[in-house]
Amino acid sequence: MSKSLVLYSNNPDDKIFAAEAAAVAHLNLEVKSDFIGVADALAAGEVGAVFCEIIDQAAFRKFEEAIQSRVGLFSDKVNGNHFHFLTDLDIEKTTFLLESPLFGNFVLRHYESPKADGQHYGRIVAASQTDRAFGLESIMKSKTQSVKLEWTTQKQDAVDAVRNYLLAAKFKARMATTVANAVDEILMNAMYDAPVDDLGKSIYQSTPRSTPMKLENKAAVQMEITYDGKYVAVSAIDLYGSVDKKKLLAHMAKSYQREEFRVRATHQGAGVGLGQVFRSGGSVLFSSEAGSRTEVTIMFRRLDMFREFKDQFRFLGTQFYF
Amino acid sequence: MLNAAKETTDQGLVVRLSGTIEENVNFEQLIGTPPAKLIVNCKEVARINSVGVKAWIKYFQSLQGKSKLRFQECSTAIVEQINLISNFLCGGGLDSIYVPFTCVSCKSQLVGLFKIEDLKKMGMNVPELKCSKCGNKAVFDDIPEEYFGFLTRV
Ligand SMILES: [Zn+2]
Repeated sequence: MSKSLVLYSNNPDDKIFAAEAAAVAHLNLEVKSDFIGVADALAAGEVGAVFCEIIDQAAFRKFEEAIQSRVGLFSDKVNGNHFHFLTDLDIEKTTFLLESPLFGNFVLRHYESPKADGQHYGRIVAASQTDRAFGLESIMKSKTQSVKLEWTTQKQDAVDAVRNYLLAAKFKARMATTVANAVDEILMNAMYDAPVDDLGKSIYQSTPRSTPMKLENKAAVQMEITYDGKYVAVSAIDLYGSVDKKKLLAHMAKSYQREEFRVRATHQGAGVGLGQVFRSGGSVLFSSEAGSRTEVTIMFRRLDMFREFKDQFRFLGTQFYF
Repeated sequence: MLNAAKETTDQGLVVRLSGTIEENVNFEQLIGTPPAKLIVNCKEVARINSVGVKAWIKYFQSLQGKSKLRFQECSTAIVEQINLISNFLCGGGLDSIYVPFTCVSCKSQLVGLFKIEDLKKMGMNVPELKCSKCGNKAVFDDIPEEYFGFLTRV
């Protein structure tokens, strides 16, 4: 018997979206009318994915309470990798969600077409059903090109190459630049933030990001890119598997639109990069196996108008393996 | 890589930045001894990454109290940062920005230069431009509340 995709939502588009995603991921769609229904399905087991609409913090607390009462928030039957929260809320207003043990995956449902978006997202859900959601080929059908970076100083050339590739693929200049900047951030993270010592302490926290370093053995960094005519996806891969989920999500939600950005001399990284990727229209997917591998993938849909590009359907996905 | 062309004018030293602002940028070296009046022209800044943002803020904050700072002709890449980071202008004034447009017919992207004082008068209703490629109309192409969000702060 195949597993189910359990949906709770009052939004008709979410139902179309979830039905398509379930079909792509080979899951049976089960629609529940309340949180307890979702919690009971989890308690019974055989749930591959939970899609849950979140309208505000109060509703989310009720959802957590339902899970806690029927299964337990820290039960083996509860795995953040399988929770997908569908929302219209700004990511900076959802720290209650990102900090929850149930998180997960954040889906900003700016649907252009809930059907097409569901088919697209279904591949992410399908990947989340596998042992390890690694490799662009698991989420994209188009052919993947892979580049091994030998030195940190090759980063800007790689970023420029991605930009030129996108211009050749008829991306408009401003969109190509936005994607290039996202690639810059994920490569920089793989090169300077991923390396940790045996105790898990960052090795290059205070090393200037212009310092040339050879990327070999454990420090190897690879970039993968693919474009299926609609979406471009680029991954940065490192072999440390050192992403701290809590810190990462705090960074993603952090906004400096009201608060002042303070330059910290002790940290050479800026901490504004990945949050800006999501705000500029990109999806971000983190797949990380502790101690051995992290793949950070950014995805953008090609659109003619920048306004639509920036407002596109997108997600922040996390798939963590311990 | 970032380049800087310098020109002394009646208004002060004008520094025209061009290229990409990233981890290799060295503003101290590019701009030299900060003058009493510094005007930074950002027309040709194509891209800025997060380490570039950090270097930018570190440098221009260090000028506070030393130089009277103004930014002009900010590219879309710089305007994005002004909107995303509340202290990106580091106390400097802002004279003008480039506003993005897309042609409704041939989908070409173009930019128009607007003075801040004029944008404030227009609210978020910028006029259409004529496409330089096909002559049809080009409309503002970003999310108005996001692209012009900074207007309430400058
Ligand atoms: Zn035109």
